[in-house]
Amino acid sequence: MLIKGNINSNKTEILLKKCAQLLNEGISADKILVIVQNSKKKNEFIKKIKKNLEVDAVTNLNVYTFFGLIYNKILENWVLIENQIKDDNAKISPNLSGLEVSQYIFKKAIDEIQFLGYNSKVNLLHQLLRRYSLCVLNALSADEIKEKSKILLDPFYSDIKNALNLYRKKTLSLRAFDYLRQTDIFKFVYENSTNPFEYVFLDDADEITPALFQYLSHIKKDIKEFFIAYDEYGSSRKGFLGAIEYNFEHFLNEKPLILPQMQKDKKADEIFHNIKNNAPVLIENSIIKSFIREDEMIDEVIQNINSLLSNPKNRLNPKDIAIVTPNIDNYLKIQLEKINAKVRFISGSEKLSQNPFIGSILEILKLLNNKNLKISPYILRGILANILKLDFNLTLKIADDYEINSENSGENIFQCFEKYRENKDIEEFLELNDDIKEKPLSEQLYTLSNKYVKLKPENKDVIRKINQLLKQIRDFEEIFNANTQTNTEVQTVSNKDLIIQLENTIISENPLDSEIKEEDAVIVSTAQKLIDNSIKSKHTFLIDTTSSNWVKQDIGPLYNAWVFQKSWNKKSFELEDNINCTLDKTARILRKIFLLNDSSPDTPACTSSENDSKIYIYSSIYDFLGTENFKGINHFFIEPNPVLKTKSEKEFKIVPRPDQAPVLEYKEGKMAVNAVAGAGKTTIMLALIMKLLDENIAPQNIFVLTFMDSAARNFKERIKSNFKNLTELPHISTIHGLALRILRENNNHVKINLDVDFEIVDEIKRSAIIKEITYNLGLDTMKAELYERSISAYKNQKIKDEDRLSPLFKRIYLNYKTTLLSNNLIDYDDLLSLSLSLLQMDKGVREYYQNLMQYIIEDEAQDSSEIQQELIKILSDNHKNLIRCGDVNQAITTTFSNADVKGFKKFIEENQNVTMNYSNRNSTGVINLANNLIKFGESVSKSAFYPVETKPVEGKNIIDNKSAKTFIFKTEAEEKKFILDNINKIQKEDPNATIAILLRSNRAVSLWGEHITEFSNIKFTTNSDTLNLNPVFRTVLAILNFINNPLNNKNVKNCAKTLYELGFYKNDFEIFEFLEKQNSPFILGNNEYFGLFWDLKYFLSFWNVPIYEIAYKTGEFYFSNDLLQKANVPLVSGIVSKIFSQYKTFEDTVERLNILSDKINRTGIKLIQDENKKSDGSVKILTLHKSKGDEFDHVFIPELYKDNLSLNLEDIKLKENSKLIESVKTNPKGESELKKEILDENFRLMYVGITRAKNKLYLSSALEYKIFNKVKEKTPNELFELKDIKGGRI
Amino acid sequence: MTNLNPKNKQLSVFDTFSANSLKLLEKDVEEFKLKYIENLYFAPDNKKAKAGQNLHNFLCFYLKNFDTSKIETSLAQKDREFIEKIKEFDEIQSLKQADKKYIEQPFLIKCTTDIMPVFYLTGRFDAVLIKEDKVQIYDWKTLNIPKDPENDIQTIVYLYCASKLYKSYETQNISITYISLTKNESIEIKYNNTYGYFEKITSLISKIL
Repeated sequence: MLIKGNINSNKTEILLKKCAQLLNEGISADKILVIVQNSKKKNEFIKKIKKNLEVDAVTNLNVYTFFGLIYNKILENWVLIENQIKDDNAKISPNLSGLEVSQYIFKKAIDEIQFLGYNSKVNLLHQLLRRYSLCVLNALSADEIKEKSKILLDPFYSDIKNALNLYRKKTLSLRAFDYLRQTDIFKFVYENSTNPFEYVFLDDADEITPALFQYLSHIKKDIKEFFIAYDEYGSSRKGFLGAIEYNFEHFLNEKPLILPQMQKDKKADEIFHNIKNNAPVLIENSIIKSFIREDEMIDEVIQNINSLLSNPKNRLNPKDIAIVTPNIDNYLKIQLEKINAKVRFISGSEKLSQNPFIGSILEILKLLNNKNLKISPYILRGILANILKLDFNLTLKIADDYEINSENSGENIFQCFEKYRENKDIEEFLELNDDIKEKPLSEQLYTLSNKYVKLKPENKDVIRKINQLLKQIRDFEEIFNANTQTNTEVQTVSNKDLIIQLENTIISENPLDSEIKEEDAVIVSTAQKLIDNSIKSKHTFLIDTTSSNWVKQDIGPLYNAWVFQKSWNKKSFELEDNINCTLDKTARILRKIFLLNDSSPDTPACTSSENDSKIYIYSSIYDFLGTENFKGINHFFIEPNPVLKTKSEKEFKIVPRPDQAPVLEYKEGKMAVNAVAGAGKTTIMLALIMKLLDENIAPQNIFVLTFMDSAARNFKERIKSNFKNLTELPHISTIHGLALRILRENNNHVKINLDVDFEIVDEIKRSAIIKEITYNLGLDTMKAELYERSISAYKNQKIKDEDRLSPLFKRIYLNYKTTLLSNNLIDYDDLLSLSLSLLQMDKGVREYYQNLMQYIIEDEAQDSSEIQQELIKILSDNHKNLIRCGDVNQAITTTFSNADVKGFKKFIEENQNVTMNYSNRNSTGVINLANNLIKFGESVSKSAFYPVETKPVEGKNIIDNKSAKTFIFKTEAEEKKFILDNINKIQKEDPNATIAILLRSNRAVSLWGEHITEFSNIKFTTNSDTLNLNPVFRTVLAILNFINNPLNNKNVKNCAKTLYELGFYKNDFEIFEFLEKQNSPFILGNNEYFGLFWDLKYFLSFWNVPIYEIAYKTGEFYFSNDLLQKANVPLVSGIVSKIFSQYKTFEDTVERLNILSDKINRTGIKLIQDENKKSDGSVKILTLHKSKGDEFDHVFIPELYKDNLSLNLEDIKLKENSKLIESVKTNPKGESELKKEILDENFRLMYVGITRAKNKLYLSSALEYKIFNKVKEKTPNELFELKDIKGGRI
Repeated sequence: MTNLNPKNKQLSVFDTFSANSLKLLEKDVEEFKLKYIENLYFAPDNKKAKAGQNLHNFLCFYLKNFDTSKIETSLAQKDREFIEKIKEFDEIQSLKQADKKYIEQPFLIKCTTDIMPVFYLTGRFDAVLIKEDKVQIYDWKTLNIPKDPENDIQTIVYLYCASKLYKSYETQNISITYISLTKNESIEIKYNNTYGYFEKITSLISKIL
């Protein structure tokens, strides 16, 4: 019997009835085999069969999942297998163990195989397991594997084969078989044993693996009747999970019984067909919304759910609501705590040690097996409070005692505890320790758990996790420690090693089947889990729909789930195949999700108009960590309410000036926009993007490349505010962001042999790596920074020639290269060169992007490097619509980065060019000076400037022809005094005026900072990007410092000060005075009077909670009502998490965070700054380079003496460093050419500095300066000779 | 069962019992509830049980006529001698040679009562020997056979279930034999028509209602 019907049909009921009928007719249960998809469905089936039984006794109900069937068959027929194993030992029963053990064995196997050139040792195991899994689930023969490897041009074919064979051998000799290894030997078992079944029931046949199909084909000859139910467009487990499409009509040679189709089913099929063909579909009961930030999206979800549940009219239960997302992480978990109902995660996983309670138990186990182990006081507090349940003060006291005495006298934890033996709990713990310290680990854990975990429903999760852990430990003990007498090859695993092995165990979140069903909770699940468990909901929230994880492709360097499908019959695998396969799978998944969205779980489908079920499709542009999302599934859905989706809402309107107008008249082709400083380049670019959108160019076909991430973000936010209903924005990122997308999208990285877990090395890590290499090679680590720049310079060559590098640099470079490779890291330079070579090499990838990128708009084009320009050239080669904007005269990064200003100049000359030469920024005197500088520059060096004359905009600029002044002082002190006096004066007259001091070098910036601190009360900032400027970071760090050492009142004071400054605890004003007088620890006292006391106690009671989670909770606690800073909470937590992953302990992480706090944030996680914040009254001191893009009312540029910023070729001296960096290039420039470049850039730097001033500009120099404690005479720069600007010479 | 308080609701879901679970119920109702209804327990160490399990498994393979010679030769001297001894037990020999036997026979019995609309008994006989009109259930014990075998809950459940599963046989011809493998002792208990097997079971189950 063949039945065709989907999840909502009654196909399973029909199977059930038929099955019960057979049993009731007296057919022996031994002869009936029922195969269902998973254990939840198995239990349901059994339950219903039992209900339908009319006879009072049967033998066995053979209702199995496929893997359950295998498990049982292997146990039943074990001797057959044992007799095949060619060693003299034998076991009466096999070890049917879990994945942990097999991974451990797999690791040992991999260690023996070289995998030369494979770049991710960490991920290798994972990749091999996936490959193994695919081979097993698809029941691939050796020949099939060989054939498929050929299609994939598999470079590691023989290494993989050897590793897998070794793994097979080892598992055989240990008799250790996880579910995959069981499946691997299943064929042998059924081919060599008799089949007892005569009737087979198979539900969800569309989701089965070829391995199961092969089994069914094998027993077919003995089967009297098959009962197979399948969904024509099911197979959502295609790809890595192994399902393929089968022809059951052919298999049974009969026509299916087609169950009646409702309107909803037809809609579902439409969804399938449209998405499969990459066409969008309209779901009438959907609500589509998109947000900028992920936390905004989640807030909306929570708000929706809470209001749905609180309205009695809805008559909704929590279980009527499901949240579906591919990204179930800690952030989501913490956020969803705000839902006013129980929330049940049925997917996702966590590290064992992440759970504070189990983490503490693990720490005790470590201590039991190593009594002298020194543990961190933070962890000790966790043990005392979480497990021994000591009170707050005693916990802190003992931890403090241990900290002091372990440091001073080397006291171990048990010696410390002895002193507190009078405490009953401590005494019991010490006695327990004596009882179990010599026992096997599993026994230790079992005893501890029984002693310290109450068997109460609220501990259900912990109990489940401990049981999982117990099973794993016993598996290990059974396999390794029991085998020692007979098997010499196997090593025993000591308790200590076992803990280390298990500490990082990932425990899955999957609750027991019965819990999913019984519980009344909002379900949070991945799409696949929701489908596998057939969880129906009335309100289905599909969230993060712009996350590429929604359409994850099942491809890695060592496996390809599409080609490894049993049914794959093409001779090659192209990008197009990958895209089509992925679309097909996505279509199947979204169709099933749609089918599961239903008002009444117990009735078959009804039409969507008849019920009020809803599908919410929510997305955000950025994820929690500020990384932008791309791709996802948004483009599959049509807005059901098109009225709302009008053209741009023109929140942001621009009336172009005549010099800007041509930009907005752009139709097609290449266009250069050369805009002077203050010409409104950003605004006009934005207007151009909006114009394209208004002309109905699809957002995904518009690509905008900005110089900085912050600019990209800014563009997106402004476009979003104008096109509120746009669910997909144009691609706007830096060139590196685009390159990363090219490498990640469609798993393209596989083509350049990069493993999926490749990471981009951030600046901190890169510096650390190069420093270490320098140190290891016995070189001067002071030069590490120079090597960093040299490596980058070398990598940015179009043609690289390692042979011409100096032996020393070559060693450094090769070391660096190997380190990155073996850690699966790439740097920012690789990002560009790898994506470029991918595009050059692979026609499919190249054409994909060339077709996609209908318009490319590039900002700050003068700073593009040769490689960047090459990338852009290739990408724009199909549509040829390329707009490059920039200002040649502001190219100030050519000499220290790899910018190629000549390229942009050439582009301007060769293409349609719009010059925007009106600026409304500067006062007229400043404009005149800037124009004069250009003229002067041209007379000195033709290549310094692009000749353009800036003009003021009528009625906009400050008219003051004397606004730019020069000053020459006798001494440096006079110059400084003059500037400070003037700043005081300006601030007195206009407290809101913005003021900047622009300097040549970072060193000068810090010297000026020191000077101002010493000689004035002027408030200043030297950098806008240090971590401690961010209120969330400051708060979190203050609290973490307190938790790190809670008994030290200094930390309490610091918290009070920090939080008070940020506006918290204003009522606690007496606290400072109080703390001054306190001699005993504040936190141990009865200080309930102070609000801070309560809150500090609260934070301290997160015993042994992972530090990043505390960071998150602290941030949430203080900033949940601050719309902007709230977004920084996950980012700060992300920074903490990143540091923690390197420094491992709470204490070291806190120490490191303190070191980083006043440094520029180079963690790779960018905190969001308040762009609209008005002047905070502080003077900005920054380098000329960093001032680009900024503007200030008053600008001081001091220290303009000749060799500080020479405008004369003869004064320019080449630094040794510049020479070395140049020497690594394939075509190094000569000294004179280099000097010329520096001269040109000095002119432009001067130009940038000058054009920062909106109102007054003060250029100055002194005649003598103290340099490294020696007073030297200096000559003012050529600028002071310019005719028109002579100011007050003092 | 109209009581809708959640605790009772939970109980109504639990409707399947085994000899083992009933043994715990007999011993301690609260512990039974924790373990079987609420699933709150730590899985005990099964090292000792494993040894017994291995013995069970060996017998199963041996009685099913698998070729167990490799396993036997690889056993330690002491274990091998032990196995040899067991093989010579009369019961084992007759089972080995029997035509009509079931090794590791699972069962599921549906029961209806006043106290609970329906409940089920499940389990697995180690071996069943059908000899003419007799049904002999065998149960291997690694160490001791039950102290009061007639009133042991396992005897009660097994004999009752066997009487349902082998309906075509007279109940007085059904028996259960416990065999201690280490002590070479055995005891056979016959189905007693006057013994209230079902009543015993239901009165036990009523403890959780």
